[in-house]
Amino acid sequence: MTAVVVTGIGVIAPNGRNASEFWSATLSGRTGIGPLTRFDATSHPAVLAGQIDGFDPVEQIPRKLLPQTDVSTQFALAAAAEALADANVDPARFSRYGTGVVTSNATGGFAFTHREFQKLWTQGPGAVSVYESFAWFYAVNTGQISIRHGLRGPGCVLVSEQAGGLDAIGNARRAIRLGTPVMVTGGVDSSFDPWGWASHVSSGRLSRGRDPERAYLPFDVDANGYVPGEGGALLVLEEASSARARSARLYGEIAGYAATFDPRPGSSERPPGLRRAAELAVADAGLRPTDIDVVFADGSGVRNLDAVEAAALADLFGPGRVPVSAPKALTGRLYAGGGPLDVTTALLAIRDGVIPATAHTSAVPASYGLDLVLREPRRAELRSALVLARGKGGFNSAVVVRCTDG
Amino acid sequence: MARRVVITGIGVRTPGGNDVKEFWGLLTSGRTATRRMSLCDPGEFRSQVAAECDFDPRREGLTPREIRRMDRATQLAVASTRDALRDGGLDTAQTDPHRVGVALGSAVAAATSLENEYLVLSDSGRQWMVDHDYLSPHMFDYLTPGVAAAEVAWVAGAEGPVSLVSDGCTSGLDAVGHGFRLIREGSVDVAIAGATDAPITPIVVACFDAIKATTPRNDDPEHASRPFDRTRDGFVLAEGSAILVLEDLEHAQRRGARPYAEITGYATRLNAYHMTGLKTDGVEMAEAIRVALDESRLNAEDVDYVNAHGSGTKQNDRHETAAFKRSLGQHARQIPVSSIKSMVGHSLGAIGSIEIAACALAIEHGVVPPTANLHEPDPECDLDYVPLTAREMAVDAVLSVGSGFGGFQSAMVLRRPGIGVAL
Amino acid sequence: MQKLSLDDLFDMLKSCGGDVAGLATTPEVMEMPFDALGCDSLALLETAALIRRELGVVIPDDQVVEMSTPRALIDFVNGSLVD
Repeated sequence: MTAVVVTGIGVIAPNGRNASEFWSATLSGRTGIGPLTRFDATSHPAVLAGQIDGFDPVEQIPRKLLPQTDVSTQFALAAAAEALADANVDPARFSRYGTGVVTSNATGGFAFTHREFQKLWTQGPGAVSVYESFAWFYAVNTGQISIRHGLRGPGCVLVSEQAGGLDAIGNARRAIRLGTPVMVTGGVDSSFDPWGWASHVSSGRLSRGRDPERAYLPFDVDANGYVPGEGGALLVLEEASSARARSARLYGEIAGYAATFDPRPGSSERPPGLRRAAELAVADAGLRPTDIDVVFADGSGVRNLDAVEAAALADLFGPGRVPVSAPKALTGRLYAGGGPLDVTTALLAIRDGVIPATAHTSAVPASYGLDLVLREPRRAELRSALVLARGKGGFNSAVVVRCTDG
Repeated sequence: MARRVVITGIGVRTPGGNDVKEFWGLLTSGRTATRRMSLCDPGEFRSQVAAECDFDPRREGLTPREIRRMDRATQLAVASTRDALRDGGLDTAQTDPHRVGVALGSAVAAATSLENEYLVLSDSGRQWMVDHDYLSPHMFDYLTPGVAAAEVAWVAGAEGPVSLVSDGCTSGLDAVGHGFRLIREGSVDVAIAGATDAPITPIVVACFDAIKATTPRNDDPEHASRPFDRTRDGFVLAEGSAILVLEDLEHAQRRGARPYAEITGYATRLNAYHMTGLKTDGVEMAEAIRVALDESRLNAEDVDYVNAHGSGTKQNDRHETAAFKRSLGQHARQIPVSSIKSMVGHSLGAIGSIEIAACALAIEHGVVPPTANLHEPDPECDLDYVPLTAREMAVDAVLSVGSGFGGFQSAMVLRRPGIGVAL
Repeated sequence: MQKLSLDDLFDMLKSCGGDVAGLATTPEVMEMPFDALGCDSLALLETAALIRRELGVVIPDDQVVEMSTPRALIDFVNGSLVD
C-alpha cells in the first residue's frame, strides 16, 4: 500500500499563530485560553475561550478576499499557505490534477452568516451579501484554498463535529492512494459571535469556570466541561516516494486511520466505539497496541466522556501502559481544527522526542488507569503515536502517525 | 480484485414524490413539481418559486421529540432511510453493525432550524446579543450538523464510519461516492449513502436572490425550471432527500438481495477558478468524467444515458455541454442527456443523490426521464436533451454529474448489474 | 443629490470585494473593463446592491452585466440621480 507522509504544517491556534509559535507554547505550557473578548460575554454562563488574538487578515490573505470570507476561512487560508510554504510545494510544478484539498468544517462561516441574518431580518433581502451564498457553507474552505493555490485534484468536506478533522486526513490519504500525489488537508473552525457562542453553550458541555487554568481539565477529578477554541491546522500530505524524490522534509507518516460510530444511546449493551476506532487504526498501520508510544487523547473534559476514553485506553493498552496527553488543554477544543492540530502535535513530538504535558490537570482518578503526562513535558523516544477525536453525536476517529526514518 | 458495489435499496422524499413509485411516476410523466413558494413567505423575494415536498413528519411516524430535535432536512433523510432499508430488505438486526457505515450529504444542513432559532434568540433580528433565556438545547446540533448523519446511523444501526459530506451542490453525488469508496476499500460491507437538504427558508432564498442564481419567473412556477432552454433564467430552489443502500456485491448475493445497479466509477475535481463562476470550457468536469469512466473500464461509446447537472442557469448548462463534448467526443451528440431538475428543482446538496436514484431507476425500468420545459433549445446547448417526453430504451451504463459552488465537479458511472462480469 | 465620482465608486468596489486597491483613479481607468480592474461579476452585483441602498438607484439585473466599465456604471447612476 502507498505510504502517505506529512511534508508541510500550517497552524493557527489560540496559543500560536504558526506552527513554531504553537509548538513552543505547547512545550512551555503557555495557554491560549482567556476571557472571550470578541464581544461582551461577561453575562454569559461561560466566559472563557481559546481565542486567537492579533491575527491581521490583511497581512495574511489577498485584500479582495476580505469582504467574501468569514474569519474561519481567513484562518484556513493563512494555515494552508503556511503549510504549502513549509512543504515547499508549488502546485504549479505538479500535474494539473495532482494536488487536491479535503477539509473538515464543523460550524461554517458562522459570524459572517450571523451578520447576514441580521441584515435580512432588519433591512430585507436586498441587504444580504452576494457572498453569503458561499461564505457560510461548510464547503467554503476547500473551495477557497483550491482557488488561491490552484489545486484541481479531488476535493471534499466532512462534518462530524470534533472527529471530522481526522476524517479529513483519512479521506486525503485515500485520495493519495488513489493516485493524487499531493493533498492539502485538515480543518479550522471559529464561531465566536454572540449567536455562535450561545450555540456552544447550548451543548451543555462547556465549562463554566472563570479561571483559565482551572476551567478545562481533561481527565482531572475536577473536570467539569471544556472550553471551546478557534483555529486548527492544515497539513500537506504526499505520496512518500514522490516526496522523497523531491527531497522533501518528512514529518512522519499517516500510517493508520479508522472511524467508528457509537451504538444508538440506550439501544445496546455494546460499549461506545472509541476503543474500536483506536484498535482499527493501529491495525490499519500494521502495528500492535504495544507499538504505540504515546496517545494524544480526545480529552473531552466532560467527566463521563473522560471516563469512557480512559476505559477504552486501559482496555486496549493495559492500565498505565502507554503515556497519554491532551495538550489541547492549552487551546480549548477546536472542533474540526482539533484533530489536525493534535496530529501536528504528534508529529512534532515524534520529531523532538518529547511528549507535551496536559496543562493544568493535576489529579487523575486512579480508577482511570491512565499514565497522563502532567505538569512538565516528558522526554521519550517516540516512533508511533495514536491521535483520538470524538464528535458529539457518537463519532469516533483515530489516526496513527509514525516516524519515517529507518 | 476490487470489491464491487451495488445499490440494493432506494428511499426518497422529493417534490412530487413521497415514495419511489411516485417519484418515478413524476419523472417519466414529464410533469413538474415546481410551484409558488409556500414553506416561507415569498414576500419580497426576487425568486418566489420552489419545488417543495408534501412532507408531514407526523404522518411519517416521527415522534414529537424527534420532530423537535431534527431539522426538516434530517426528517426527510430519516424517512428516506427507513424506506431504503425496507426496499433493500436489509434487516439491521441480522447485519453486523460494525460493518455498516453512513455517508450523508447536505449542503446547508440545518439551515431551516438555524433560522427559526435565530428569530427567537434575536427577537426577529432586533438583538445582536442573543438572549440565552430563549436558547434551545438543540441549537448546538444545528450549529454543527453532523448529527443529521448520526440520526441516519441510528435508524440503520450503523456503527462503522459515519460522516456528513458537505461539498455544496455536489454533496449528494459525493456522499454516494464516499459510501462507494468505503465499501471498495473494505471498511464496510454496507453503506447507507445519500443526501438531504431543506433550504427553503428566507436566508437561503435571499442568498441566491443576491447572486441572481434562482429564477425570477414568478408568474409561471410550473415552467420555471428550464434547463438547456434558450429562455432559462436560473434554477428553482428545492428540497428533498434520497438515501441508497449500497452493498458489497458478495454481501448482497449472500442474502439474496436484488441490485438495481452497480456503481463502477466515481471521481471529483476542483476547478480552482471561482467560488460561483464557471469557465465555459468545462475542462475539470470533463476530467472527472474521464476518470470515472476509466475506473469503470468503459469508453465514451459505452455510455447510454447522461444524467446532467442541468441546473438551468445560463452558465451551468453551457459549461456542462462543453464538458460532455470534451469528455465524450462525438458520442456526446448521440446519447440522451437530461436534467430532472426541470421537474424536481435543485435541492442543493440533496439533488446529487436524488439523481443517482433516478439513474438506478432508469436502468431498472429501461426508461430515460426527460428534460421538462425544453421548448426552445439554446443554440449553444446542442445535444439531445430528451425534451418533454420520457424515452424507452435499454440503459446499461449511465453517467451522472454534478457541479457546485466552490468549484466542485463530480462524476459517477452506474451500470446494469451483471453486465461485464457474471454476477 | 451628490453625483457619484470615480473615487466614490472605487471605495464602494473595495468594500464589495473588487480588487482595486492601489489603482489610481485616472481618466483612463474610467474606460477600463471591470474584469481588468480586478472586479468580477460578484463584486459588481454587490456594488450594485450597495448603490441601491446608499443612493436609491436601482440597476436592472440585465444591465448590471452590460455595464462593463466605470464610466458606464457612473453615467447610469448619475443619469438616474438627475431624474
